[in-house]
Amino acid sequence: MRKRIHYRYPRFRGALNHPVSFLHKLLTPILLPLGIIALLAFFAGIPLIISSNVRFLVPTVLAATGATLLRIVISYILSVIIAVPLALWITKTERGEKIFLPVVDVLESIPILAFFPVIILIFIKGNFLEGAAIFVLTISMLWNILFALVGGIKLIPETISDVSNVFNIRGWLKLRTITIPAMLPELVTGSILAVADGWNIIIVAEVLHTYVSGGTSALDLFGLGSLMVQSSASGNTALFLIALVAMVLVIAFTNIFVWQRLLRLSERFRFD
Amino acid sequence: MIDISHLTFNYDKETPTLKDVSLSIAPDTFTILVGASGSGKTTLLRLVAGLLKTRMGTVNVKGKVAVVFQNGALLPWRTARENIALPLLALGESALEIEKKTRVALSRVGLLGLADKYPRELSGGERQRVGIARALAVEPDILLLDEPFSALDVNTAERLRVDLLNIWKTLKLTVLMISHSVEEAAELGQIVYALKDGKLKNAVHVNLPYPRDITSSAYLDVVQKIKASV
Repeated sequence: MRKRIHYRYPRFRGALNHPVSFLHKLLTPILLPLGIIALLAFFAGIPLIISSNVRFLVPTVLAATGATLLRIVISYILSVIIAVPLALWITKTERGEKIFLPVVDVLESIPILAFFPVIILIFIKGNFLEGAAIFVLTISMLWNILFALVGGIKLIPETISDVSNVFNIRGWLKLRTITIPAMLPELVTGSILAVADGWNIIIVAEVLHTYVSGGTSALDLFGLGSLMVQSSASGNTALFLIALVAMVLVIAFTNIFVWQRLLRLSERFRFD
Repeated sequence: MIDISHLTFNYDKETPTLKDVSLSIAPDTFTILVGASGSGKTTLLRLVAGLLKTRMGTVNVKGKVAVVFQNGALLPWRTARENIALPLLALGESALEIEKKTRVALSRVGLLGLADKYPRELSGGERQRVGIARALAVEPDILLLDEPFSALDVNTAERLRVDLLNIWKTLKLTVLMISHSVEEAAELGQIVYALKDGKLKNAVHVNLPYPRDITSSAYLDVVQKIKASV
């Protein structure tokens, strides 16, 4: 019996379409010029940075980087916690897939930012602005991870499912020995895309005052995104450049030291 | 041990994969189902293994069943030892028992030295041996084999066939194996059934002693007999 593969499932067939090769391909045309631009801008701005109070700027940017990173990490963990049981539930039955995958497809297509002003108002009422940012980041990361996990489960060969049925490998034992390991390669590739989405939306998630009528920067959350917007608006080029370089460095280091390593590690969990 | 009576099975409404199949397999016998691709032999094996539900007819199986799949069907992130231990974990065996049974199963297939290797570090034949060891670890009464030698080279397949015969004789198992090779069926089977377009043809009883001389005229006669049914 042939399993129907949903069109959104990541399928990496052949070396050229492999995620590692894909990232390597991305590294040269996108990340490298980006890094060069950031470094050039940084060096061009050195006189400005020197003339300003560097002792004040660097700790501020470091603290903002930490705050933003923490926000992204919390949102990523939350989206994984939501996506794993959801993916398991959706793929549990063929009927579940038929019903819920189109629903998830529609939900994913709805731009989260369209609802952002409403979400912010709800969180402001609860006096929990951080919650608004984490909510938006979590939702924007969720879909990539969910589709990747569903894809991972669907890539489990039929003979492996037969093995679990014949030998009565079920429940938690099946989950920890078969299903979760099988999901790992797709979880890593989905996570790379999800966190990239998180960085894309970070400015919107931190600069909250624009969504509230008469809102002031007091509503903004402290972080790299808001720091870049505020420094740009106030003409503080030195601060903007340091924040920009910090962001590029964090993204590059995350890619090199986290995702590339996880991609290599996850290869052992891939079926032939 | 295995009784199949008037079994008809279809995946879709139009074309039945199995048509009114009836057969009975006695304990401790080596039975082979031979047929071309699409003849329905895998479907029949899956029905006996309980992987498919019967709709018309009955399948009665008495005894513990284990299956050896094509290419071993191993988990790439578990070592040979861990793959073999998995069904035992499902049975709730103690760690000591699992270790003991895993070692016995590995030694039966001659892989004790490769217990801690991952499937990617093993050859095709070794992977298939791990698959056989995993099936033997649960101490089955009935061993079902789904074209276990189809992906192996000639020499490896031949060595595995000899080992399988020894395992069958030693453990007194009831074996039902499917194959698309008439020669393989004549070399291994005591009773060979041919499946053609979902219909079971007459059984060919092979009364030749093991190991069979594949150059003898008696063997070649058996091959011709089976070929006439396929």
